[in-house]
Amino acid sequence: MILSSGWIPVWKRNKDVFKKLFWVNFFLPLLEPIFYLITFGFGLGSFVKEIEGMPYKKFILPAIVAMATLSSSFFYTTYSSFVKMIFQKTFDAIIATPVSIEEVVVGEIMWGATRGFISGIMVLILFIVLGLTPPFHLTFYIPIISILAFTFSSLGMLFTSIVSTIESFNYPIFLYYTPMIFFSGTFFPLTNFPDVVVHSSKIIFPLTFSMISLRGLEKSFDPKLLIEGILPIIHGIVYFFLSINLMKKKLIK
Amino acid sequence: MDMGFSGMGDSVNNEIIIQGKNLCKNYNGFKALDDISFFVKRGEIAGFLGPNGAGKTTLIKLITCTSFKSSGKLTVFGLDTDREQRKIKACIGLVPQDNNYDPDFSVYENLLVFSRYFGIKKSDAEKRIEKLLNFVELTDKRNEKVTDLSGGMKRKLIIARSLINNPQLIILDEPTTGLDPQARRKIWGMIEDLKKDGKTIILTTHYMEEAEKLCDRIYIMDSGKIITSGNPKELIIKHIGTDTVEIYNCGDVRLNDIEGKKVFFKDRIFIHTDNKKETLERLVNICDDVRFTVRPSNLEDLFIYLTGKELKE
Repeated sequence: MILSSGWIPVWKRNKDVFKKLFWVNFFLPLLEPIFYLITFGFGLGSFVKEIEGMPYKKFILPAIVAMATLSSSFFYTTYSSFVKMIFQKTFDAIIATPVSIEEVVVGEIMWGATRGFISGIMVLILFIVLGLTPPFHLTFYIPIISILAFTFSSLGMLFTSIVSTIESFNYPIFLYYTPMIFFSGTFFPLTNFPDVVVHSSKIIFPLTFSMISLRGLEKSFDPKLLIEGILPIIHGIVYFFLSINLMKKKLIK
Repeated sequence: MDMGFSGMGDSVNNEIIIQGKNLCKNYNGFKALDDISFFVKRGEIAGFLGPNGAGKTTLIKLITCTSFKSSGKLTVFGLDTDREQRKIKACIGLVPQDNNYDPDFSVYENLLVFSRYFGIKKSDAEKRIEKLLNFVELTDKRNEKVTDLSGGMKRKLIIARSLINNPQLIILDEPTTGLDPQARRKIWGMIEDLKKDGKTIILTTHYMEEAEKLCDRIYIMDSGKIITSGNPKELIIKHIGTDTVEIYNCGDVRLNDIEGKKVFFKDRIFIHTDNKKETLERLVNICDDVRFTVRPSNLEDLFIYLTGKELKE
């Protein structure tokens, strides 16, 4: 069922909407990473000289790319998917065609992932253009960003399958998403925290692995670091199948 | 109107398109459908009639494979709804109760995006969309934002959308609810055109006029059950007779002397009769200041007679 191609028209629908609203969807969110760069890279970065042997603006760079990626994916499969499901009844319209509910959910997750990937890579290209990171870094950013986008797209859908009102998204956002943004080794390394904190962070927040991996690779290319960057996919796969199942229960009564 | 459908002509034949036997649907112990049996033949318009909560929409969900029965048997085009969902859905066009169009797209884009869910080739879809826009009279509005359309036009768009896959079976859930009389008549015309084109049509409604005008066969539903079924006019004659006298001030009218089926409902009394002349003469004899109207019996009367309830709330 999942391997069938019915999710593709759902993905295409979302791509078409994205293209129509390109300015709102794309250029405006691109401003946020620039603000991060100014605040942390140049502002704070001029006071903090070096972290883990690299200048702070270099240190913060993978975090900005990763956050652009996962927020784009996560907020798509939470708010956008919820609005389509509950208020626009778009899913109801689609499941009355040969497309199944599983395919609708897969189409949504795959689009969320695509969107996150585009956002992350655009930010990276911006940084490359600004001369902050060399172009060949795209080679390891692409797989790691893809996995991150897929994982957070699936996680967003999982929350969408659980919440009953749009306000309830505040639970996952303030209890999970926001702490993750701060405590995954994004703005500062976790190395000064006790081991238990570091390990918990790795288990709870897939972003922690991505940060270790991307930051390490920024310093020197070590294939072992790529493996850490791929680990979040374990989370992703679990969220993916769980959200499909829960969504089916939610919509097919 | 030639829609380019591979039409069967205006012929109701005896091939059964949908068959339900002892169909039940429970939601957490609530019986939305309670042991119903019915059939729909190719080329006919079958109406499911009943108040809100009668089980009409639940039944449509089962037929369109977007919900699953609790027990019983249901086949569409001879295929089991539990197993052959994709095949069944490919041949159905659904006009749901809510206008669930895609607000992010224009009229034309709504149809094009929808055609992809059926795997229709883009070039074929484009040709078909032109025909459909013409059929529902929305050619001028093709590039409008859907949210800017009037209620009637939105409904027409959904009807066009339901025809994108050239379905054998079209299901309309409350197609004219909330529309003004003019828009309603337009939609009735479209439904009749589709029937002429050989389509099998199911509609649910709580408008009597709609059911009487359009349907070859109706199923009257209440609280998840089918109370009676048949041709609307035949059902009326069979159960309550050709005419109805509706009496408004019935304080001390002595009705014992009057023959016919008497229904006391709210502040009114209905007398259903096959012989209105005699009924009227007696009524006037008993009491000359009685206020009443005489009219042909309709489905509303039949529903009240059978259930003691009104269809509209």
